[in-house]
Amino acid sequence: MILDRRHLPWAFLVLFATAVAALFYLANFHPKLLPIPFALPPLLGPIPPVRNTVGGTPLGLIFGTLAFMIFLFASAMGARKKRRLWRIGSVQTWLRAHIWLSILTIPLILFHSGFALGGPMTSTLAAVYAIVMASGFFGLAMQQFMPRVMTESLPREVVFEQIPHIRTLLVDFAEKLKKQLDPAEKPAAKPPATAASEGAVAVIEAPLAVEDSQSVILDFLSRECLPYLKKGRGEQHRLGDQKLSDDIFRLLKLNTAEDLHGKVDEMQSWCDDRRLMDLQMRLHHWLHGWLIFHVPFSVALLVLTLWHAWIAMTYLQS
Amino acid sequence: MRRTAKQIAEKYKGNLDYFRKPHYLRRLRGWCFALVALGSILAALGFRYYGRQEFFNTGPLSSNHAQFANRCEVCHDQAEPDLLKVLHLDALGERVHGFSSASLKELPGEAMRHLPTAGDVRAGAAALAHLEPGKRVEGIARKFLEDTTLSKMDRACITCHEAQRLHQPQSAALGLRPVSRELSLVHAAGCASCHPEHTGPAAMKLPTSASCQSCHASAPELKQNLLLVKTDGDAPASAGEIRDLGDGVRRFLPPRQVPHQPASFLSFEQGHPRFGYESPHLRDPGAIRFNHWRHGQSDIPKVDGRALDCADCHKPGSDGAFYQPINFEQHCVKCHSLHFDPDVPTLAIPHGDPEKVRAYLRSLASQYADYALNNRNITDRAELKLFVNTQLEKLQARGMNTVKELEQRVFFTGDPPEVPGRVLTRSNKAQFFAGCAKCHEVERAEIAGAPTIQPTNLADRWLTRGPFTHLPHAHLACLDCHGAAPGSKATSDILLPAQSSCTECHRSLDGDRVEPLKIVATAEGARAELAAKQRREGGIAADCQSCHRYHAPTDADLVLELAAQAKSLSP
Amino acid sequence: MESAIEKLTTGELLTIQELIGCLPALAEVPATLLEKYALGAAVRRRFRAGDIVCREGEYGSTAFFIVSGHVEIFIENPLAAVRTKPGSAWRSFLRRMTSVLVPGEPDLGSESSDAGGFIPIDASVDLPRTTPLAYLGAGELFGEMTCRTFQPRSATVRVSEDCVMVEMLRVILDMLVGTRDPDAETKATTKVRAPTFKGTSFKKHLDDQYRERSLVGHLRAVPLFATLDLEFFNFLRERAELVSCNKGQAICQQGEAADAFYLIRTGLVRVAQSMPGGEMVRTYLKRGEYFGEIGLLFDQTRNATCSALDAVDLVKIDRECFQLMLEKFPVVRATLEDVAKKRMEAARQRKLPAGLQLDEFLSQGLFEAQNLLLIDLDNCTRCDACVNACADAHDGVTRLIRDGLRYDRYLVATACRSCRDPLCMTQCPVGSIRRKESLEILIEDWCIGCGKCAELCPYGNINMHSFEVKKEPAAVKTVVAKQAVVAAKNAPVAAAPAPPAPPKPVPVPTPAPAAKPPVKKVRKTVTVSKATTCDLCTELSIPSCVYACPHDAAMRVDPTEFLAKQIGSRGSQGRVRMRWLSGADEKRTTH
Repeated sequence: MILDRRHLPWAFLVLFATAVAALFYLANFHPKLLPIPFALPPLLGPIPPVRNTVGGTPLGLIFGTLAFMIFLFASAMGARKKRRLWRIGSVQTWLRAHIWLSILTIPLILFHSGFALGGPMTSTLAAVYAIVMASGFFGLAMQQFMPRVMTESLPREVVFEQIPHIRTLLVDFAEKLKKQLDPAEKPAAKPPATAASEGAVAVIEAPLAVEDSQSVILDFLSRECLPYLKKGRGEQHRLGDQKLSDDIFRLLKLNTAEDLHGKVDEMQSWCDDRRLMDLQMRLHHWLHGWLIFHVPFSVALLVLTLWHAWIAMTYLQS
Repeated sequence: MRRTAKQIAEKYKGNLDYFRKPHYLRRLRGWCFALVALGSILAALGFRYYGRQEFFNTGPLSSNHAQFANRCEVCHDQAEPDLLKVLHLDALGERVHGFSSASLKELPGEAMRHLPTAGDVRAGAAALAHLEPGKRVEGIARKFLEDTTLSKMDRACITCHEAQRLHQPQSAALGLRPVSRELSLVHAAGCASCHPEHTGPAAMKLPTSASCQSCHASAPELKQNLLLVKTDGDAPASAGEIRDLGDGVRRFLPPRQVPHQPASFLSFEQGHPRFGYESPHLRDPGAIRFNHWRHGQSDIPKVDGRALDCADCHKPGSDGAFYQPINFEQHCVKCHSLHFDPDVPTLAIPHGDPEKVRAYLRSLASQYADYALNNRNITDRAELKLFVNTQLEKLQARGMNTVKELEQRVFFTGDPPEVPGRVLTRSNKAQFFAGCAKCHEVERAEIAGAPTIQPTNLADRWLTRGPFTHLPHAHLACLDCHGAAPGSKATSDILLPAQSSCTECHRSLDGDRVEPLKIVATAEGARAELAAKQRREGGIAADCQSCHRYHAPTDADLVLELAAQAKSLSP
Repeated sequence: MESAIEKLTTGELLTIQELIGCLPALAEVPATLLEKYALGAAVRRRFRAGDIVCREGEYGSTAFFIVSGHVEIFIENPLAAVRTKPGSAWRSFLRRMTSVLVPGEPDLGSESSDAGGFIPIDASVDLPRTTPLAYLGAGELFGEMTCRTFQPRSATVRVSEDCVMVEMLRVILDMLVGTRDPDAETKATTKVRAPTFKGTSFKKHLDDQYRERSLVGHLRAVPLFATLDLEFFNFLRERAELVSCNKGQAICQQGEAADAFYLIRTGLVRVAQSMPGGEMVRTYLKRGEYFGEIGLLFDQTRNATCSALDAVDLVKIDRECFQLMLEKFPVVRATLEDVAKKRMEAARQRKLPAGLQLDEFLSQGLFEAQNLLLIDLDNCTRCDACVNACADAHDGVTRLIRDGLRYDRYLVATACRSCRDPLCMTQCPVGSIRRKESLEILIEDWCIGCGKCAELCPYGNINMHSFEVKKEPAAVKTVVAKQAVVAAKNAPVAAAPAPPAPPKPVPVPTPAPAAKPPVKKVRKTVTVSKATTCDLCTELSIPSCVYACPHDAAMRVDPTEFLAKQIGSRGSQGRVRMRWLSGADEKRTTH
């Protein structure tokens, strides 16, 4: 989600809430750091923290509870995205709230923890929290420019989820062409004369025979094009390189009769499509890969937070 | 090659329900999701049932309790986060980890077998002769437990720390003398409010003033948290008294109001109550006539060529913490000699027991004879008799014709006799010797025998609550604190520094001076500079714990402890 | 002259005499013409009970005349709407959606449709919407439209009683009912020089049959006529004029004085309004639908031009008749005024295109679009939420493909753009694709899955989805059909002289009770297909795809206005780089 002017109110809200929280925190725990004395309502807790941890004091608990509620809300985002039809505020509003309220948890958590890691459990929690926040920020950063990068570098972008389907389509096209050119299907045609390499080396002077060209194309198709289209990861293949591929196809055109240039163009467009799809997948991974960390770890965060709260409450009581 | 929208859409024909089958990224995410979620839940359960409970610590335990690091239930009674219990699956829980949550609770007793128990602590304290740890304290403790709302964790604390379970700040003064006892017990704040745990691997820190202030800074808080328990005992003394608590040290015990309402205040320099001896009508109960002012006058004869000085009488003790008790033989006799015959300088009336004095006077003739024999080498019997008679006649000539008259002079009037009770305004050089009654309270025997002399009853310690010692104050001059001494004409004047004068140095570093300086500094040189600096800036220890102990061990312990501390501090 | 006339190969060839024996009306045609054209253009076919004569969705070029026997006509494709498999909320949360076809609610059609409770098919009868089944007996003609305009068959015809039929090519049909003038386009493109015929008494026979059987049903199906009494229907039946139009012929011109009210008997009528920016097709009307009421009602001139898209037969109710009806039945007037007001309001809201003079804009057909799904590619993270939301909103079938051509930084997603000239509607054999008072194009439950609309859409926005459905075996249907036939046989005899059959001429028992008896249900799995297209999520205020977009990328806009504002203002090239300073794009959703 691109950060634009509509995020400003949220940013102000977060800043304001942070300021208020900081004021409360300082007034309660470090009153001397405040330039002007500020008295808190006595409900908000003992002036000196009972332990070095701030979390157990009433104010600390309020910070923690707020942060936990925000966690709950933020993870409700996942459910919200599943229930797309519920008209409970547009997803955009939710996402904006998700982003900014989550940012607000940073000061809340810091104040809740009193800028300390605490014991092993709370340290674990902090680590998980750090992963979730870091992946979230990474995703947010990616969303600022990655869509534009994709738009500019993928002129023939397809639906990402359909890439496997389209790949099989391309392979099908290629197989069809292969069948079409295969001399075995047309008994009249000559057997394939030379390998592609030899054909490529030969200097072309006389107009090429259609049959020869067919065999050249057939050879290219079965040796280069099809393996490339079938390959799981196309980047390593030489057709996976834009310039190299252009050269290869230019050479192929030189070695084939004019009548068959249409076919060569077709093959080239398949390979181009394939290359672009590979690029699209890479870019898509950048844009969406962070979710692999963000979503599972936010669940872990939720579970651990619940656990932390549960344990803290039981120990606080006794 | 230009495509049309239709051609683009054509590509997807036949695969339009692709979104129902999650693609690999989503599947991967799903797997991670399931794995991490399951992992975190398993981790939670695993740690609960098989892991080290230390994991749950909010912070490392102090070294005091390090042995319980993995045994939360020792202190947090019933606080185990037993998920199975919450889900009402106790039976399953028992099967899973072999014991029920209830059986866990029985373990701590076993673990504590080797800990110092309350009994041990008491046994040490009982070495002090007067301390009766007996039933009364037990009774109070029981009542305390019944009347107050101890948290579960507090009960866990007092399992081991039984002897120190009450807030008895006054017990040194009250608990050790047979007066009506009234204990103020704190019943709201638990142990942990002053003794935070999980703050680091070092030893537990002593509470700071802040802990005290959490109650003592506000009157309502104080009142709310205070439970006054009255016990049997004598009525409190109204004028304060001096008692030896069995350790040979005489302490001044100020009177105490019952019931006692502690004051609420912010710090030592702000609102702290005055010291016990500062009540306006309080008198030094010392039974000796001593006039500090008189001893500072110029007509007082020089001692060793110097004018009389504080240090001539007030001499530091061997440990430097306190001054030696005033002692006639050491501090008075130089001027106030007990010679009665100018011809016989070595003969003196013995100091101390009046019976001995009486016996001495009655055997005066033989004393003279002994003197002549030993000091003048008169061995001839007649010569001896002559010497003795001559001296006795000389005494008779001075008006001491009979033994009775002699005793009258020695015990009461001195020689030449003086009207008892008259305050001398200048040095009375006319008198050859002073009677006992010049300094002591002497009472005539009613029928016969020696008069009785009241004990001097001089206090060794005035600050009984706090562990005051002179060591850290060595850079100060006496008069810096005891400034009233040179002007004091009566023994009953209490010449100790007021609480407010302590605060001149004992205040927070940047604390505002509450009152203008009261005392004129008399120290000299570098010591004066240091003193002046301290007074200017404050910052000398002013926290509650410097003087007070919440759980009130006897102040004897405290004094020794702090004296040791002070010694290690002083150069 | 090459032999341009195709010959039928299956079936028994008929001599002229035999042909006249089967179709006596042909005797009126000059013998020379018969000799020249009729030979081989008609065959006799014999069917046994249970044979399928033709299936819905098949292509054909012939019409059938029943010489003897009975057939039943039904829609085989289940009358069904796509629904998400019902399941607990929790299960549906965990699992991906599965969508199935469920029988459409019977009341849905009659309420929401202005064509009443009938599915128009290519025969002289209509299928009731609740139980799409009808019968035809001897002397009936069906498949006329397929023969004439090569539409796919609109229904399945199964022989219920051994049957003899004459299958004929268009030339025979023309002989029987008269030739329609081909429009200029057809004339220009076809090499066939078809002869013209005047038609025979068979035409009158068909008209009478229609008058007798379907007219009242059609009239009654028109909601505003619902309150008329039987007497008035009879009056109308007599007074109404049956009119035929040729392809391309204007039935009424915008701006003319209104003189009559029309009800469509067969064929497709294009309703278009001419505007300063050009002509805009408002809608296409089909069999059973009506037009021309506004002019009569408010004494106005025609506000749209209605022209025949193919051979159109109309029922014309003249002014006096219409006025009489309005006087007699005030309720009719009230409802009619309502409808008319709504139509006019809708027409007024439609704005004129601003006319962006950009090649791309025109070549992509954006000019045609009234409501475009655009995706701002600078914002879009390709999360596919829009597609998923679409599927969610439409019972697990997406009506949107997140790909297409680009216009500037916007992706014109493949989803219905509500064309001004909805080509897709022109050839639906059963009229299930239509547009109502608003922009959205709907496909009704009785879609037979012929795929004509998907083929016609120039942008690939209509998709055919196939579903596996458990279907009752044919036997059950046959039983039902036989009962229906028996009932039908009895009914006309009893009510032969009586005026028209009631709207539901055949009391067809509902399949449910009929299916219950001894016949064992052996359900087999059949794959059927249904066309789907974007309905703009009519019942919701914002289309689901737009609402579900988390990244402010998807939007439904009027392209002319929106793109002129977005791109026109900063030139078609350079992008605004620092958009967050200039504020977000103003987004407008129309629906």
